[in-house]
Formats: sequence, structure tokens, C-alpha cells
Amino acid sequence: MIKEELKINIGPQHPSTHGVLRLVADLDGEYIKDIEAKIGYLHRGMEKLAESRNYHQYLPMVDRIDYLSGFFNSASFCYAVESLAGIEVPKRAEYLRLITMELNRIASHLLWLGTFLLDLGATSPLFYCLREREEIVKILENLTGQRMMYNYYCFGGVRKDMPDGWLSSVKNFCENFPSQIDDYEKLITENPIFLARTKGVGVISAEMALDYGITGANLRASGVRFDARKSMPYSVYKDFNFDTPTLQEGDCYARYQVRLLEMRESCKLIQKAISRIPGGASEKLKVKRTNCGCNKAECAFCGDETKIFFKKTNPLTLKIPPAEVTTFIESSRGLSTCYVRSNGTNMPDRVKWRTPSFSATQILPELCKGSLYADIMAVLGSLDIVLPEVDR
Amino acid sequence: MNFQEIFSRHELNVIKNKDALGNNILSINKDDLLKICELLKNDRLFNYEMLLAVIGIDCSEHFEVLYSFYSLKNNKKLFLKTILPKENPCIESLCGLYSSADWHERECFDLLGIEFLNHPKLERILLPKDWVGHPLRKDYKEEDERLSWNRR
Repeated sequence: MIKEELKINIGPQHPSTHGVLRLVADLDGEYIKDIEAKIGYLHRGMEKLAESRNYHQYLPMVDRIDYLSGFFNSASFCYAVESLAGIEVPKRAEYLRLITMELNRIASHLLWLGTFLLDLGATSPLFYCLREREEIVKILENLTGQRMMYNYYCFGGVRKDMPDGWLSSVKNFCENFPSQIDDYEKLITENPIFLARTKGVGVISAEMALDYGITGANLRASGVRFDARKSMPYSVYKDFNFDTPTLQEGDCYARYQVRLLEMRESCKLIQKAISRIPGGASEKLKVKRTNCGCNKAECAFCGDETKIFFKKTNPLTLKIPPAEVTTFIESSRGLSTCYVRSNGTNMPDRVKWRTPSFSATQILPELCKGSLYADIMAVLGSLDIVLPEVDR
Repeated sequence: MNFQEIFSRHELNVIKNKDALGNNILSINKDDLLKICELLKNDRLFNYEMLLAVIGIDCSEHFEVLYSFYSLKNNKKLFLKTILPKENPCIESLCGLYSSADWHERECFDLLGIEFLNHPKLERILLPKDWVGHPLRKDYKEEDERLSWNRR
């Protein structure tokens, strides 16, 4: 019998890697001795491109960083620019942002659930998950005109008001959705094959998760109660009471459960937000002019010229004085931060994205060492990484 | 918590600033980095157990490296800012303290050419191995002949 190590190359084009991720694994029989993740196949230079575009030109590109949950990236960049320019967002726009972000979280988790089970060999959950996701995508298309790359937020609010009957369609969805999660649970949670593939596989301990900077549902599945919506509230999240589901096990099964609980929680949050959304004309959705507070006549923000001619946040006049800021947003995958440094012109000096998937990919070799080859895809799927977000 | 007192007890010079959202940014000397980070991680008062990001910035006259920390226990964010010279920028690696530093530092090296001393594997991570130059530098020009299709 020949006993030697086998080097095997998984990807970059592999259906289970959710994009183009290359894994180089050293195998000893069926066991993994070492594994190395190679990224960069989807690097589009998002940070370099920011240097040659003004703030308004960069805003639509931001959605492409994570195409499954575009609202979070938009929000991250918008809050950064708004806090630099001193723009305050109207309450009604903030509520709309919250509702769309939570809808997006559910849509992203649904696609994750379907593809995760597809990775494990279960085909039918994908169709049920996509069926519900399609409803959300249609709701969002009604609002923004786009299915995935929304480009809906703008500096100082949102682009347009809701169409007639939009809120009631969201309400309808939220009423039906929990029973559909129950259906998934009946199909998946007690399934013996699913349990065998996920229970005790890819365990992340709390210390390990913190050491690697893992955030989001992956961290909460390891027993650390950390949610940026609660601990560093942005938007109007501090007006709402919601639960952050936390489990102790830290394995793939716990990560699955946390995400299901999160979907239920998001659903409740949307219902609460709909009941409280302030009314008003569509003029209340956008800030008409920015104000830096100096009130000098020659100022680019609050001078006379701006007040008279440029009523909105104009791409030409939005020149932000030199400063730097980092915003923290709890995206569907974890803590997503955006660092923006302005230099007094209408283009940013430096934009840096810290994305949760980047850290989640980094921990993958640590989780896979010593486990079976078949577990790679279970672990990779449960971490919920999206490759364009890793490479940017 | 008082930063200044603890740092002056350990003979470390720190200048405190705030960013647009009111987060603390500490400007430190680059030689003190390891000492300060050890303090930040292990001191019970600070307890910054997460390193969220390593942000490299080219400020045309010099480089800046910004470290973003988060403490779960105290729910506090902290930024450390170090200034590196334009010629031969290098700084101690934090890989021994935080595992997350590994890839973040590699990315910083890849895109900005900042060298991290004592890093276990300082290689390009996002760009191919044979890439010339560091794209996020302000003086970077696209001279790679493989990009000629871009200019058709």
C-alpha cells in the first residue's frame, strides 16, 4: 500500500465555493493535514477606484462589493460620508433604510440557507428558499427598480418614496414568512443526514473567534453576544427592542440555527418598524441642503450660493473638509466597517473596506485541519462567505 | 478609563485625537507599537480582544497605518495611528498578538508596500505574485503590459 500525501486543488471554479476561491489541500487519505486558502481572483480594486471618482460616482459601485446584501455597503458608505459632511438624515428615510436593510438580511440568509444545503447534497430546500427570496426581491424591485444592485440610498436620505401599497406588501410578507421558516425547520432541523454532517463539525471556540476577528452570526454561534445594531447603534435601531440570538456550541449546526433565529427576529423588527414609520410627504426623505455650521457666505456647504442654486447634495459642491471616519454596520455576514478619509475635494482620499467574509475565510484552514475532506464544504458553507466581499 | 496615566506609567508617548464620530484615535510612535498593543490586549482595564482592521494610507509625504481595535467587555472602539516614512516603510507585525493581523497585514503589504517585520508569510494576497508595484500608492502608474487591452 502506498502511503504518501496527496496535494489537491479545489477551485477556483468550484460550485461550492460561492465565487472563485482556491483551496490547496494536503490530504492524508481522507483526512486534511493542511489547507491553504488563496484569494484575489475577484479583486476589482474597489479601494483604488474610489480615488478617481467623486462621492456620488462611487456610491453605485459600493453595492457590488457584496452583491447579495447591497444595502449594507451602501449604508456603510452613506453614514460615513454623512457624518463627515455633517448631514442629518430625516427620520422617515432612516425607517425606510432600516426596513430595506432587514429585508435584505432575510434575503441574504435565505440564499445562504439554500446554497448551504445544496453544498451538503440536499437539493429541495434551495427551491423553497429561492421561492421566498423571490418575494423579497420583488418587493425591493418595486421600491428601487433593481433586483440586486439597488443604489437606493443617497447622501442625506433615500432616493424616492415608497410606491402605493408597498408597505402592505411588506406586511403581508412578514405575516406569512414565520410559518415558512417553520416549514424549513420541519424539512431540515431534525434531518438525520443534516445532523450527521453538521453537528460537532468546524467548531469555533469563543477565544478563537475573537482572535481571528470573526463577527456576525458566526461569532454569535460561538457564545459571544455581539451585535453592532445593539452595541454601537446606527440608524434608528436604538428605538427598537430586539433579541440577538446566541448559541454556545460554535459548530456548523449552531451557525445554521442562529441564522434561522435571526430571520425570525428581522421579521419582527420589520413589523415593528412599519407600525412606527413616520408619515409625511416625499420631500421628507432627503436632506435638501447640507450645513457645516459655519454660515459664512463663501462656504461650499452653507453659503448663499448653495442655498439658492444647489439645493440637494450636489456632486460638484459636496466637497468635504479634511477629516476621517470609520462606520460600523452589522451586515448580514457580520461587522462591516468603512473607513473614509476626505481631503477637501469632491473625491475621497482613501476608502478602506473591512469586510466580515475576509476574516471568515482566514479562519477556514484552522477549522479544516484534521477533519475529513467532505467536511470542507460543510464548514465553508456554514461560514457564509461571499467572495467578491473578500477580494473587493 | 484614563489612557494618559497608564501609558505614561509605562513611559509611552501617546497623543489623543477624535474622529468625526467621536472615536478615540491615539497617535503613537511606531517603535512603541508592540508594547502598546500588548498593554491594550492584556491589561484588564483596556481588554481590546479584537483587531478589526489594519488600514494603510498613503498621505503623499508619509504613510500612515491605522489599527482598529474593539473591546467586547467595555464596548469601546479604539484606533491606533502610526506614521511611517516614505522611504522603506516598515513596522512590527502584530501576528503574535492577534491572528487576524496576518491577512490584514498581507493586504496592506500587497497594496501599499508597507513591510511588516517578523510576519510569518509576507506575500501578495489579492494581486498575482508577479505584479509590479503597489497600486494604492499615490505615485503608482499602470505600466503592466498585461493591462494593454485596457487601453484599446
